[in-house]
Amino acid sequence: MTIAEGRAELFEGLRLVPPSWAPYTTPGYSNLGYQLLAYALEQITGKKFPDMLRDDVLTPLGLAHTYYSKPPDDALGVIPNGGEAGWAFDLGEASP
Amino acid sequence: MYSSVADLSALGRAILRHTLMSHVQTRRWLQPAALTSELVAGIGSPWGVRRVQLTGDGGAGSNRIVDSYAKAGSINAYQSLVLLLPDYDVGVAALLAGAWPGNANWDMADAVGAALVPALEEAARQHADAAYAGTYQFVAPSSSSSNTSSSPGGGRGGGGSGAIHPLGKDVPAEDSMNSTLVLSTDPARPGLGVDRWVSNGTDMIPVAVRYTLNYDVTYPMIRLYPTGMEFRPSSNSSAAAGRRRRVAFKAVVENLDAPDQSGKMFSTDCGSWVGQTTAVYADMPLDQFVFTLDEDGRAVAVEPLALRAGLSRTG
Repeated sequence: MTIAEGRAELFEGLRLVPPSWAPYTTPGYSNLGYQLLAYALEQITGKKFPDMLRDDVLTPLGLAHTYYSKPPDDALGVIPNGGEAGWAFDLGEASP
Repeated sequence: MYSSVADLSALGRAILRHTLMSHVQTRRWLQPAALTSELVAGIGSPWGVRRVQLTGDGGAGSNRIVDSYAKAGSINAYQSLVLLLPDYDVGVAALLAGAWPGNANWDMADAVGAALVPALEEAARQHADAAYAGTYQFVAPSSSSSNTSSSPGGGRGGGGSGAIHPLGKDVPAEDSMNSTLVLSTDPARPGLGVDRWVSNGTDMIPVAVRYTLNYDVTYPMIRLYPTGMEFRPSSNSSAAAGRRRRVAFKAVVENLDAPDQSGKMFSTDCGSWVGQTTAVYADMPLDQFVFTLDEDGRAVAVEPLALRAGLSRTG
């Protein structure tokens, strides 16, 4: 499945889910909200979110040990015994 | 995402230093966007805002509030937390891996905060005490030419003058003038306390109370707070040679015996944010005090602006 197909499936799935509450009723914790914000930023800038993160935040601040996805070198990680799957778990486009 | 505590700490410092965003944007961001049904909790984007009430020395309840801005997370066997305390420009970054209990990231911050925040408060008080507390008096210059570096106002006015006019004009010297300001710090109270304020023999505390609060006050309290305003002489200007850094403080005049409104629905006990610059004498606020600092950041003189009188630190 391509990224575009995955994103289309997300929005198709959202159509099935009722909203939690009417807009401006209350603040609420929303991981999805930040994922949608990342999509909006990508539309506005024409850049991929991981690239924006790298160019606008990680590189200017010199954050050499911060990664959008699992770093290639597992030795960088603190991996509890039996926790390899948790370490490797990729949130994909939910990472924002 | 994946990160290290070094990187999260660097990120926190960059936020507090407004490295990537402007100072204005950063101030706007570090605010609650919404209040909540928990009085001490607010919500920002993406911050959890928490208001921490510190108790004064001896449990006096100094009504000192410190606001924190935090973002926490957990997934699988990992927990994370970045917490900022903009009041002190410090923060906490925590990353946990393994079978920790669910609140362990916050437990880390709680443990650090319990040790760090009271220490920061006390260190700030000690620093302010060393820099500002003590006795300031009018010191008549000797008949020989005065030492520019020790005269009140940081070198302005030159020899032979008594009081220092803010515009630099000389005013006639007087043989003696009883003008004294005594400042102190108190672990249970904010800012610098005005213990004594006499100007040319007149007790200024009742004067300030009369012109600021305008009623009979049985327990006056005058305390000075930083304004964030400074004069810094640039080192490469000959006009600034011999001039020193000056910082302005604002006095808040209160009556600690004022009626207790805490049971009322809307009325408040705290209107001090409304009362600045209430009394003005020929344009100069009665509540503004400007300190002259030496190279070590220690006050050597103070000028209550309305009185046009520089006082040297004598103790």
